[in-house]
Amino acid sequence: MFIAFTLLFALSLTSIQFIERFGIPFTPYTGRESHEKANAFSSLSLTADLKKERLEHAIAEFKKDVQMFSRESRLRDSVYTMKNDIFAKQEQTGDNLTAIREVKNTEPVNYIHQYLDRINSTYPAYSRVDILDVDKSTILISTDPSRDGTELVDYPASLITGIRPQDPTITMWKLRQTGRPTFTVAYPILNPEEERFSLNSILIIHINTDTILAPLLHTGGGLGETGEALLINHDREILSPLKHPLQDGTTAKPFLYKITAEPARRAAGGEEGIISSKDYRGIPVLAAYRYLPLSADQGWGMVVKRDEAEIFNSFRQSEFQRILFGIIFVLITILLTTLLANGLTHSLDKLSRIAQQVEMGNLDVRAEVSGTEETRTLATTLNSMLQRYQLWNEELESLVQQQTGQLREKNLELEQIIHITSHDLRSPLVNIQGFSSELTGIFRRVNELNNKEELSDKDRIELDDLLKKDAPESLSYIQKSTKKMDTLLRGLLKLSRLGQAAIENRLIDMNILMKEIAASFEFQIKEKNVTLVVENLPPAMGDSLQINQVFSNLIDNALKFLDPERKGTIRVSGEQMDDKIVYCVSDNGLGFFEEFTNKIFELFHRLDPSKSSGDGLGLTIVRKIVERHDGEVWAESKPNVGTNFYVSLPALSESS
Amino acid sequence: MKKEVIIVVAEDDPGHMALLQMNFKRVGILNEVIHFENGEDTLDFFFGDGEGPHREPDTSYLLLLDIRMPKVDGIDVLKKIKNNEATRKMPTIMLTTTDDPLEIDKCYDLGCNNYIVKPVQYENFVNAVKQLGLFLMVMEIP
Repeated sequence: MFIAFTLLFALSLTSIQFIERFGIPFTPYTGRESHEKANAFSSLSLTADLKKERLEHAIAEFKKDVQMFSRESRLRDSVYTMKNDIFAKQEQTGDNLTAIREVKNTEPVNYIHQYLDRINSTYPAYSRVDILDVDKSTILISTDPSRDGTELVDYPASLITGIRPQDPTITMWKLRQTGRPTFTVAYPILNPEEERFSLNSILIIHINTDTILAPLLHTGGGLGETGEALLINHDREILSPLKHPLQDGTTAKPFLYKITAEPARRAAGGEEGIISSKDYRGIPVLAAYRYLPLSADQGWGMVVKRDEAEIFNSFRQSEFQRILFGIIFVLITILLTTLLANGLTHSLDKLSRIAQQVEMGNLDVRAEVSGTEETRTLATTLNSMLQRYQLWNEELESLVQQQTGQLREKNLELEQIIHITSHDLRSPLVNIQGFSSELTGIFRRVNELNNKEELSDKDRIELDDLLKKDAPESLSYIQKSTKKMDTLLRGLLKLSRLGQAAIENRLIDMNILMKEIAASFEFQIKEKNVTLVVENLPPAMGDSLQINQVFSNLIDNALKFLDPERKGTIRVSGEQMDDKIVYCVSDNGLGFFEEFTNKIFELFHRLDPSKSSGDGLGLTIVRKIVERHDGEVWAESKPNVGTNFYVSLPALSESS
Repeated sequence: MKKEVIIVVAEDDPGHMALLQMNFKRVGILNEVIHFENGEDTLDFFFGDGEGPHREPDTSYLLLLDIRMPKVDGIDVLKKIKNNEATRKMPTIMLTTTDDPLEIDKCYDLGCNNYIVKPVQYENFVNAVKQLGLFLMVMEIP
């Protein structure tokens, strides 16, 4: 089970990492990787925008310069004059170069020279300034004197034809001879004081690409080792050297290499944006591409890129660290959890073993109180529970024993009663059966005699006997027997009702009680000339009605078994002995043999049926009542001397 | 002349006694019957205590005992009879209402010859007596 926990834990940690890295699909949370990517793009874009802006700014400056310089009126005049002079000289000599040489030291030419030098020195980036003669397609004058008068072999034709006064022309082209990239900005020098556009010449400023582009395209630490910015023209030719070698190991040269990679293609096409793609080396990069319009239909593309590997490298490195830490952490947690769980399961194990023992019935075991607070509490609680159960168990056992004992007693009593009763009831039944069949016989005989035509005297005597003697006798026996059965059953009922009767425990003044009993037996006492002596009796605790019955029955018995030889005396006394009060009813009557001491209390037992007319229940009732009061009754007797009946009842308790 | 067997009956219920005597007559037992109403008197008769009739030494007796009797019950009488050398051999039949097997066993253990449960089937009774080999003189009933 706890393996499941560990796995769950590890799984959750891993999935957290996973989600962190890759994000949750269909939700805005895209994860760390995308985040990093977005960050990278962001910085690439920023760099690209910055570079673009700077380049645009520089270009704007160049344009402004060239425009400003070409519009200078003195320059205009000087160039106009110079051209006229050259034209005039050419007429003379017929050679252009010579003509140019000859006008060299003229005032306009000097001015132009100075002017051009001045322009050239404005920016360190300016490397050369030329003025082109459109008509002759030659370089009219240049800061590089060797070029004066030379043919326009290098300049692309488009540059000249494309010249417009609205916009300075920015061109990047490669010199036909050297293949070196040349960056120029040109603007027409118009004829002076002409209203419409009249192109005289073109002022072209050469700009050192290295000076301009290199720093511009330089990528610093922000883009890392693999970071690169590149420029391409309309035709996707690179305008600056590439930082990295190509796939085949060679280094690409400006104008000589066309980039086919997607970011460059898009940038050259005039689009701007970010992309994750492969660069000219075929290596995956993140790139920001921009478009720099130079003129209405021309522009450059710029790509600022960085190797994907490098971008994610640090990220991945830290990720690796993170995973490592995660694993270590998980392992430590597993270890700790194992130890903890072990300790826990150990304690739980012990507890469950104890519980098993209890299940098997052993309540004596106790749990060991150890382990964590919870297990300690559990163990302590378990122990006290067991203690209580043991106690309850013992209490229950003793209660059950007590009840069983009581039940057994009651059962015995019942059995006894049934035994005796079935006996005693059977006896009258025998009579009823016997005399019923006698009657049947008698009636048969009577019918026989009745059917006789003539009755002899013998018959008549017989008939007489049958009807006057035998039949009545049988009937008499039957009646006596039914009465006997009735009496028996009533006695039983009385006894059973006694068993159900509630005991209203009250303090009984025994002296008053005995006075009542004496009063109820007054007639018999007088008739039999008996002396009843009642001593001062201690009070008893019990149901006054039932206790009255007890002593009434005892007095009744004493009156039944008087010795005719002497005057009867019945004495009632009582005294406290320890925690009981013992009463005694003693007489000087007939007494009985020792062997009958217990028998007399038996149900329906009559010592001498001839003497008494009772139902044999008197003493049985006495015993039942006394026993229900938690007391005892017994007798002592000597034949022809007398009898003592003792009744002991629990003494009054302090609380009552 | 054969000596007539005297039947001694210890029975406390007068009704039972009356039925017994009527039925003796019916089955032809005309022997002398001595009746006692309790165990004490019965023992007195056999062991000669107190007043009243006593056992004759040369006479055969058949004892019919009821178990439930006041003063001394049938079981005690049986015990005493069987313990006494003089009376031990006297045939004893227990005639009683109880058919409790324990009681029955006790009586046989004590040595009674037969045990008959009331109400009595008198034919069986006669057979029992005959089994005991007693010759009861029968007088013809006219």
